[in-house]
Amino acid sequence: MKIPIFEEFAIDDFDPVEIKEAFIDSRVGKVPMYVNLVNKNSEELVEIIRLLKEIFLEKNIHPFFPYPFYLITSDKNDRFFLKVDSVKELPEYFFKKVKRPNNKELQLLNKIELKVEKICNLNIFEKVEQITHVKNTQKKLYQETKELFFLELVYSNLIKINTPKTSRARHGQKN
Amino acid sequence: MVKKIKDIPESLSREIKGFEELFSDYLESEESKERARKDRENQKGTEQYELQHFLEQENSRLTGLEVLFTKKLPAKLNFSQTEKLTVLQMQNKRDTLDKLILEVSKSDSLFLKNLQSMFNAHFS
Repeated sequence: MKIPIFEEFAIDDFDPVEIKEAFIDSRVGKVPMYVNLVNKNSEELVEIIRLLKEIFLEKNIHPFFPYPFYLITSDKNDRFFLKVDSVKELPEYFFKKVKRPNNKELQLLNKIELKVEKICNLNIFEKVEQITHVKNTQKKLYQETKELFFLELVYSNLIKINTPKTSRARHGQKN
Repeated sequence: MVKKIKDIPESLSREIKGFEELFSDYLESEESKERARKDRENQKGTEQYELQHFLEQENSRLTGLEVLFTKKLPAKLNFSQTEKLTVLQMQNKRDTLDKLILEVSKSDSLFLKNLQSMFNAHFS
Protein backbone atom coordinates (compact mmCIF):
# COMPACT_ATOMS: atom_id res chain seq x y z
CA MET A 1 0.00 0.00 0.00
CA LYS A 2 1.07 3.56 -0.70
CA ILE A 3 1.44 6.12 2.05
CA PRO A 4 -1.95 7.85 2.50
CA ILE A 5 -1.00 11.37 1.47
CA PHE A 6 -2.78 13.77 -0.86
CA GLU A 7 -3.07 12.79 -4.52
CA GLU A 8 -4.59 14.90 -7.25
CA PHE A 9 -7.46 13.64 -9.35
CA ALA A 10 -6.89 15.48 -12.60
CA ILE A 11 -9.77 16.50 -14.84
CA ASP A 12 -8.45 18.15 -18.00
CA ASP A 13 -11.50 18.09 -20.26
CA PHE A 14 -15.11 17.47 -19.45
CA ASP A 15 -15.64 14.04 -20.94
CA PRO A 16 -17.94 11.88 -18.74
CA VAL A 17 -16.58 8.58 -20.09
CA GLU A 18 -12.98 9.66 -19.55
CA ILE A 19 -13.72 10.93 -16.04
CA LYS A 20 -15.46 7.65 -15.15
CA GLU A 21 -12.50 5.62 -16.42
CA ALA A 22 -10.03 7.82 -14.56
CA PHE A 23 -12.12 7.43 -11.44
CA ILE A 24 -12.05 3.63 -11.66
CA ASP A 25 -8.27 3.66 -12.18
CA SER A 26 -7.69 6.09 -9.33
CA ARG A 27 -7.53 5.24 -5.65
CA VAL A 28 -10.40 7.47 -4.57
CA GLY A 29 -11.54 6.53 -1.08
CA LYS A 30 -8.32 4.64 -0.38
CA VAL A 31 -6.15 7.76 -0.08
CA PRO A 32 -6.96 11.43 0.50
CA MET A 33 -7.57 13.13 -2.86
CA TYR A 34 -8.48 16.47 -4.32
CA VAL A 35 -9.62 17.76 -7.66
CA ASN A 36 -8.79 21.25 -8.81
CA LEU A 37 -11.81 22.92 -10.42
CA VAL A 38 -10.64 26.51 -10.11
CA ASN A 39 -10.28 27.08 -13.86
CA LYS A 40 -13.60 25.54 -14.86
CA ASN A 41 -16.49 27.73 -15.96
CA SER A 42 -19.75 27.62 -14.02
CA GLU A 43 -21.57 25.29 -16.45
CA GLU A 44 -18.71 22.80 -16.54
CA LEU A 45 -18.36 23.04 -12.78
CA VAL A 46 -22.00 22.11 -12.17
CA GLU A 47 -21.76 19.21 -14.63
CA ILE A 48 -18.49 17.88 -13.15
CA ILE A 49 -19.83 18.04 -9.59
CA ARG A 50 -23.06 16.30 -10.67
CA LEU A 51 -21.09 13.60 -12.48
CA LEU A 52 -18.69 13.05 -9.56
CA LYS A 53 -21.61 12.82 -7.14
CA GLU A 54 -23.27 10.26 -9.40
CA ILE A 55 -20.09 8.15 -9.56
CA PHE A 56 -19.55 8.32 -5.80
CA LEU A 57 -23.12 7.14 -5.16
CA GLU A 58 -22.87 4.46 -7.84
CA LYS A 59 -19.59 3.09 -6.44
CA ASN A 60 -20.85 3.49 -2.86
CA ILE A 61 -17.79 5.54 -1.88
CA HIS A 62 -18.31 8.17 0.78
CA PRO A 63 -16.48 11.46 0.11
CA PHE A 64 -15.53 11.87 3.82
CA PHE A 65 -14.62 8.37 5.07
CA PRO A 66 -12.16 6.69 5.35
CA TYR A 67 -10.27 9.33 3.35
CA PRO A 68 -11.60 12.70 2.26
CA PHE A 69 -12.14 13.82 -1.31
CA TYR A 70 -11.83 17.59 -1.65
CA LEU A 71 -13.04 19.86 -4.41
CA ILE A 72 -11.03 23.00 -4.91
CA THR A 73 -13.62 25.51 -5.96
CA SER A 74 -15.21 28.74 -4.81
CA ASP A 75 -18.70 27.32 -5.43
CA LYS A 76 -20.11 26.26 -2.07
CA ASN A 77 -23.66 25.30 -3.05
CA ASP A 78 -23.45 21.53 -2.85
CA ARG A 79 -22.67 20.03 0.55
CA PHE A 80 -22.04 16.48 -0.65
CA PHE A 81 -18.29 17.11 -1.05
CA LEU A 82 -15.75 18.86 1.11
CA LYS A 83 -14.80 22.13 -0.57
CA VAL A 84 -11.90 24.53 -0.17
CA ASP A 85 -10.86 27.65 -2.07
CA SER A 86 -7.24 26.67 -2.81
CA VAL A 87 -4.66 23.90 -2.42
CA LYS A 88 -3.12 25.83 0.48
CA GLU A 89 -6.34 25.40 2.46
CA LEU A 90 -6.20 21.61 2.29
CA PRO A 91 -5.39 20.00 5.66
CA GLU A 92 -1.63 19.86 6.22
CA TYR A 93 -2.06 16.58 8.06
CA PHE A 94 -2.15 14.67 4.76
CA PHE A 95 0.84 16.47 3.25
CA LYS A 96 3.96 14.48 4.01
CA LYS A 97 7.31 13.97 2.33
CA VAL A 98 7.36 10.84 0.20
CA LYS A 99 10.08 8.42 1.27
CA ARG A 100 10.73 4.73 1.15
CA PRO A 101 9.10 3.16 4.24
CA ASN A 102 11.17 0.96 6.54
CA ASN A 103 10.01 -2.39 7.95
CA LYS A 104 8.12 -0.93 10.88
CA GLU A 105 6.40 1.58 8.65
CA LEU A 106 5.49 -1.17 6.19
CA GLN A 107 3.86 -3.13 9.02
CA LEU A 108 1.86 -0.07 9.96
CA LEU A 109 0.88 0.45 6.32
CA ASN A 110 -0.40 -3.12 6.12
CA LYS A 111 -2.51 -2.57 9.22
CA ILE A 112 -3.85 0.66 7.75
CA GLU A 113 -4.68 -1.09 4.47
CA LEU A 114 -6.74 -3.73 6.27
CA LYS A 115 -8.65 -1.10 8.21
CA VAL A 116 -9.30 0.99 5.11
CA GLU A 117 -10.65 -2.10 3.32
CA LYS A 118 -12.87 -2.90 6.27
CA ILE A 119 -14.27 0.63 6.43
CA CYS A 120 -14.77 0.75 2.65
CA ASN A 121 -16.81 -2.48 2.82
CA LEU A 122 -19.28 -0.87 5.22
CA ASN A 123 -22.26 1.07 3.91
CA ILE A 124 -20.98 4.41 5.12
CA PHE A 125 -23.89 6.43 3.69
CA GLU A 126 -26.23 4.40 5.88
CA LYS A 127 -23.91 4.80 8.87
CA VAL A 128 -23.78 8.56 8.42
CA GLU A 129 -27.59 8.66 8.29
CA GLN A 130 -27.71 6.65 11.50
CA ILE A 131 -25.27 9.08 13.13
CA THR A 132 -27.51 11.98 12.05
CA HIS A 133 -30.53 10.20 13.59
CA VAL A 134 -28.67 9.60 16.88
CA LYS A 135 -27.49 13.22 16.85
CA ASN A 136 -31.03 14.55 16.35
CA THR A 137 -32.51 12.43 19.15
CA GLN A 138 -29.78 13.52 21.54
CA LYS A 139 -30.27 17.14 20.56
CA LYS A 140 -34.00 16.79 21.31
CA LEU A 141 -33.25 15.22 24.70
CA TYR A 142 -30.88 18.09 25.49
CA GLN A 143 -33.53 20.65 24.49
CA GLU A 144 -36.23 18.97 26.60
CA THR A 145 -33.90 18.68 29.60
CA LYS A 146 -32.91 22.32 29.29
CA GLU A 147 -36.54 23.45 29.20
CA LEU A 148 -37.43 21.21 32.16
CA PHE A 149 -34.52 22.61 34.15
CA PHE A 150 -35.70 26.17 33.46
CA LEU A 151 -39.30 25.39 34.47
CA GLU A 152 -38.17 23.64 37.64
CA LEU A 153 -35.98 26.61 38.50
CA VAL A 154 -38.88 29.03 38.03
CA TYR A 155 -41.19 26.82 40.05
CA SER A 156 -38.75 26.37 42.93
CA ASN A 157 -38.07 30.14 43.06
CA LEU A 158 -41.79 30.84 43.05
CA ILE A 159 -42.39 28.43 45.92
CA LYS A 160 -39.49 30.00 47.83
CA ILE A 161 -40.93 33.50 47.38
CA ASN A 162 -44.52 32.50 48.20
CA THR A 163 -43.53 30.71 51.41
CA PRO A 164 -43.44 33.24 54.32
CA LYS A 165 -40.07 33.62 56.01
CA THR A 166 -41.39 32.59 59.46
CA SER A 167 -42.79 29.29 58.17
CA ARG A 168 -39.55 28.67 56.30
CA ALA A 169 -37.61 29.21 59.53
CA ARG A 170 -39.96 26.88 61.41
CA HIS A 171 -39.61 24.33 58.68
CA GLY A 172 -35.83 24.65 58.99
CA GLN A 173 -35.98 24.13 62.78
CA LYS A 174 -38.00 20.97 62.39
CA ASN A 175 -35.46 19.58 60.02
CA MET B 1 38.44 43.12 18.46
CA VAL B 2 40.94 40.47 19.44
CA LYS B 3 39.47 37.85 21.77
CA LYS B 4 41.64 36.65 24.60
CA ILE B 5 42.13 32.90 24.64
CA LYS B 6 41.67 31.70 28.18
CA ASP B 7 43.02 28.72 30.07
CA ILE B 8 46.53 28.74 28.62
CA PRO B 9 49.74 29.07 30.60
CA GLU B 10 51.37 32.48 30.90
CA SER B 11 54.51 31.40 29.00
CA LEU B 12 52.52 29.98 26.07
CA SER B 13 50.34 33.07 25.99
CA ARG B 14 53.47 35.19 25.48
CA GLU B 15 54.64 32.91 22.66
CA ILE B 16 51.37 33.11 20.68
CA LYS B 17 51.03 36.85 21.12
CA GLY B 18 49.72 38.33 17.88
CA PHE B 19 48.06 35.08 16.75
CA GLU B 20 45.05 35.25 19.11
CA GLU B 21 42.68 36.36 16.38
CA LEU B 22 43.75 33.54 14.10
CA PHE B 23 43.24 30.95 16.83
CA SER B 24 39.84 32.33 17.88
CA ASP B 25 38.64 32.37 14.24
CA TYR B 26 39.75 28.77 13.83
CA LEU B 27 37.96 27.70 17.02
CA GLU B 28 34.76 29.54 16.00
CA SER B 29 34.72 27.95 12.56
CA GLU B 30 35.18 24.51 14.13
CA GLU B 31 32.36 25.16 16.59
CA SER B 32 30.00 26.35 13.85
CA LYS B 33 30.81 23.25 11.77
CA GLU B 34 30.00 21.07 14.78
CA ARG B 35 26.75 22.94 15.38
CA ALA B 36 25.68 22.55 11.73
CA ARG B 37 26.47 18.82 11.86
CA LYS B 38 24.36 18.38 15.01
CA ASP B 39 21.47 20.35 13.47
CA ARG B 40 21.59 18.15 10.38
CA GLU B 41 21.57 15.02 12.53
CA ASN B 42 18.62 16.29 14.60
CA GLN B 43 16.64 17.15 11.49
CA LYS B 44 17.37 13.76 10.01
CA GLY B 45 16.23 12.12 13.24
CA THR B 46 12.91 13.98 13.33
CA GLU B 47 12.28 13.33 9.62
CA GLN B 48 12.98 9.66 10.18
CA TYR B 49 10.25 9.39 12.80
CA GLU B 50 7.82 11.82 11.15
CA LEU B 51 6.40 9.22 8.77
CA GLN B 52 6.20 6.57 11.46
CA HIS B 53 4.39 9.00 13.76
CA PHE B 54 1.97 9.91 10.97
CA LEU B 55 1.24 6.27 10.22
CA GLU B 56 0.66 5.52 13.90
CA GLN B 57 -1.75 8.45 14.10
CA GLU B 58 -3.49 7.26 10.95
CA ASN B 59 -3.76 3.75 12.37
CA SER B 60 -5.40 5.01 15.56
CA ARG B 61 -7.71 7.34 13.58
CA LEU B 62 -8.89 4.46 11.39
CA THR B 63 -9.28 2.20 14.45
CA GLY B 64 -11.48 4.88 15.99
CA LEU B 65 -13.58 5.14 12.84
CA GLU B 66 -13.92 1.37 12.62
CA VAL B 67 -14.98 1.08 16.28
CA LEU B 68 -17.49 3.89 15.78
CA PHE B 69 -19.09 2.31 12.71
CA THR B 70 -19.01 -1.34 13.77
CA LYS B 71 -19.43 -1.29 17.56
CA LYS B 72 -20.51 2.02 19.05
CA LEU B 73 -23.13 2.99 16.48
CA PRO B 74 -24.97 -0.39 16.39
CA ALA B 75 -24.93 -0.49 20.21
CA LYS B 76 -26.29 3.04 20.35
CA LEU B 77 -29.07 2.20 17.90
CA ASN B 78 -30.04 -1.14 19.42
CA PHE B 79 -29.89 -0.18 23.08
CA SER B 80 -30.59 3.52 22.97
CA GLN B 81 -32.23 5.11 26.00
CA THR B 82 -32.42 8.56 24.45
CA GLU B 83 -35.98 8.28 23.11
CA LYS B 84 -37.35 6.88 26.39
CA LEU B 85 -35.56 9.60 28.33
CA THR B 86 -36.96 12.25 25.98
CA VAL B 87 -40.51 10.98 26.56
CA LEU B 88 -39.89 11.01 30.32
CA GLN B 89 -38.49 14.54 30.22
CA MET B 90 -41.44 15.74 28.15
CA GLN B 91 -43.85 14.26 30.69
CA ASN B 92 -41.92 15.88 33.55
CA LYS B 93 -41.96 19.17 31.68
CA ARG B 94 -45.74 19.02 31.24
CA ASP B 95 -46.23 18.20 34.94
CA THR B 96 -43.95 21.04 36.05
CA LEU B 97 -45.68 23.46 33.69
CA ASP B 98 -49.09 22.45 35.10
CA LYS B 99 -47.86 22.97 38.64
CA LEU B 100 -46.36 26.30 37.68
CA ILE B 101 -49.57 27.53 36.03
CA LEU B 102 -51.58 26.42 39.04
CA GLU B 103 -49.24 28.30 41.35
CA VAL B 104 -49.21 31.45 39.25
CA SER B 105 -52.96 31.52 38.65
CA LYS B 106 -53.86 31.46 42.39
CA SER B 107 -55.76 34.61 43.31
CA ASP B 108 -53.23 35.50 46.04
CA SER B 109 -50.17 34.61 44.03
CA LEU B 110 -47.25 37.02 44.00
CA PHE B 111 -47.28 37.08 40.21
CA LEU B 112 -50.92 38.30 40.07
CA LYS B 113 -50.25 40.78 42.85
CA ASN B 114 -47.29 42.23 40.97
CA LEU B 115 -49.30 42.30 37.77
CA GLN B 116 -52.14 44.09 39.58
CA SER B 117 -49.82 46.70 41.10
CA MET B 118 -48.22 47.28 37.69
CA PHE B 119 -51.60 47.78 36.00
CA ASN B 120 -52.74 50.04 38.83
CA ALA B 121 -49.59 52.10 38.57
CA HIS B 122 -49.70 52.60 34.81
CA PHE B 123 -53.30 52.30 33.62
CA SER B 124 -55.47 53.69 36.42
